[in-house]
Amino acid sequence: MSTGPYNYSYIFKYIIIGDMGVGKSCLLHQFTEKKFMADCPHTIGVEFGTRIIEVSGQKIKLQIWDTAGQERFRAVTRSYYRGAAGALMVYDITRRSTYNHLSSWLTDTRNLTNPSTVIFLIGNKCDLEGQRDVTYEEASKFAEENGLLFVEASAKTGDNVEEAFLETAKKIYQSIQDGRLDLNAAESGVQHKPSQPGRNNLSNDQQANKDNCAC
Amino acid sequence: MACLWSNSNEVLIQIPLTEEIDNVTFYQISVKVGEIKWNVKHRYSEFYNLHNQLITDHGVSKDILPSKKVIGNKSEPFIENRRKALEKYVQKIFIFLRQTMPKIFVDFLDFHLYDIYFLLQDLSLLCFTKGDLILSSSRVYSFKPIELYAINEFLKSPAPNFTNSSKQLDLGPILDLCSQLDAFIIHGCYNDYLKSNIILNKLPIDLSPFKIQKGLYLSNVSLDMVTSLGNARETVTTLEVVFSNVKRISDILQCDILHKNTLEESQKWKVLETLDLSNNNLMDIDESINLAKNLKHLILDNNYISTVSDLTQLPNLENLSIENNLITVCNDLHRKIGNIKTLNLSLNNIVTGKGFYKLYSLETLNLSSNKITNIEELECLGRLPCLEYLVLNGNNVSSSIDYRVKVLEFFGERAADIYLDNEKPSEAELDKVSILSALRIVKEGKTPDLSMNGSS
Ligand SMILES: Nc1nc2c(ncn2[C@@H]2O[C@H](COP(=O)(O)OP(=O)(O)OP(=O)(O)O)[C@@H](O)[C@H]2O)c(=O)[nH]1
Ligand SMILES: [Mg+2]
Repeated sequence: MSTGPYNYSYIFKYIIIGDMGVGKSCLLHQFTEKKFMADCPHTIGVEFGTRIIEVSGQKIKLQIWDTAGQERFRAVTRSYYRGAAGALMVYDITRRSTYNHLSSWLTDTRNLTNPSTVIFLIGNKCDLEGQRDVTYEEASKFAEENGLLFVEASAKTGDNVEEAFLETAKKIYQSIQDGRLDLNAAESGVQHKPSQPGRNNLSNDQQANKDNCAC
Repeated sequence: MACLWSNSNEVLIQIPLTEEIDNVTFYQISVKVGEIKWNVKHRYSEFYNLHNQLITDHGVSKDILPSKKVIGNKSEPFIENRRKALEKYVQKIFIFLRQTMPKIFVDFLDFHLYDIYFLLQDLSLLCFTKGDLILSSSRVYSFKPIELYAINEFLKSPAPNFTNSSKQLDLGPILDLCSQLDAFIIHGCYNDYLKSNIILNKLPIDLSPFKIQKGLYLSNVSLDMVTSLGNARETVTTLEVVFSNVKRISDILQCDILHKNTLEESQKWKVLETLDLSNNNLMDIDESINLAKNLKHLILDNNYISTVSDLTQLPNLENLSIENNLITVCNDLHRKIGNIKTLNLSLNNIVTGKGFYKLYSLETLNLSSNKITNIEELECLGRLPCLEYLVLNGNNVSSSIDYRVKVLEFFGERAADIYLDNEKPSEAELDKVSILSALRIVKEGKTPDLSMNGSS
């Protein structure tokens, strides 16, 4: 097999959700471009980004949907939950209201995704320690109670941004390895890379599954 | 563009006409979804095949298709009856299948060509299966405005819930491909799109969802309809807008801006190096060109430009082409395009080379097919120290006696290095050049030394 830039084995789909202004688009930008976007316009509907990462020696392409936090786009953004293998749920550590809304974001996520979707809680803007409005302990406890992964991160400095995206991918990859995540399920949010033009998804999946069994 | 999911109650399907082509009767189905209409033709056997598929795969009842008839199926009353019956048939089927819209039915009625959802379904599959192939070869994809429009509409509206495929429509593969392309091509059209009443150039073009990398190529599009350029100003190094009836450069570089009378910092094309606006209706090179400070190549062929404007705010400009325009006078060009290396003014109405006398950086000058009749008008070109390629054919002067020798003589000692009309001088020509200059020295009574230094 060649090792060109398009050589990856899986596609994982992520969504990023949370109140408006918590820094979802900045986190995505920091992850894909390694830059901080200081004056980022509000997202209209959904935006899209991708990056190829490596987990346990496997190249994985992340296709990330960054959703609008504004209430009026909720109908649009809801349709992107369904196919997500990972959900990054973001609040702003300097604004308590964004933290208080987490339970409603979580309800939406649980209702609209499938049970194997990995949910990762991110407390963003941790560079603004002086303006902190939500303690680490409190959020950490919330995450634990709800079975979520958790970090505090900063889209500005880049702290923990990679970690959040990569940990999520590791967790998803584990689920595939354990067989908990069914690649052939319609809304699993994971696909094999299309190997040859013309072949349809299903035969790709079957082909790859056979390969997996052999090793 | 059609949108079945938001207009499912405003659909009208009829078969108003039949048409005979090569002895086969075709039934013309007209589909109307909201304001959008289109036609699609099928012969009876295609209805028959569709029907069999629908029976086996989608639970359509067997006996609703008008039956086959082999003998006498050319008679007018027969065709008329069949037309009515087939019309009833498609209407019935549509009501039965409009929630699920199986692919075979979508394609039968051409929904995949005109409807946002079904068009994107095909495009997404194409990008998923062929995306990596495109990226490992040409890295170029040519879009129709209808595709861009569909993507934008889909991103802004709640997704519908057709159940014709196991997976919901996923724009990921499309946007993924778009963000990696080297060149993004958009071909518009002012006529009706295929068999519909959709006009591509009346659809808004919003580039904000696409991460355009290097090249943006627009052909026959309506710049008025560009509502957003996305990140193009930050990333595009080559911009081509051709055959688009553009009158002013500001209509392109500020196409997304309502008030074009001021140039704002935020409107700058930060990395644009090549701008090709050939085949438009440009009358001049307006101020907005200064939004592209890093421009190296400016191509304005086949327009209606009559003067070269001041381009001194473009310090990197080295290649300017204004072929086949209406340029008559060009005085003191060095005050306008001081650092130019290649200048193409072929097919204009220029009568003299005098205005070029201080373009000291010029290496290539194309003045072919202009109105130069007098050889003396070219004398100053001989003093341009870097000029190596000079094209003058197609002027009256180039058919005059000893034209090549006379032009070459202007270059003095450098004559041997000059490609005149794409050819270096022959030995014979060079001999003649030296004889001519010797004669001239005698005539003008100057010492050989002075003339060797090239100042006369
Ligand atoms: N100090 C600091 N500011 C941040 C950080 N992340 C984002 N911001 C700022 O927060 C503001 C909002 O960020 P966005 O990324 O646009 O927020 P969003 O969640 O995408 O908002 P919507 O698109 O409206 O849902 C911007 O002005 C950013 O500059 C961070 O980590 N630290
Ligand atoms: Mg945003």
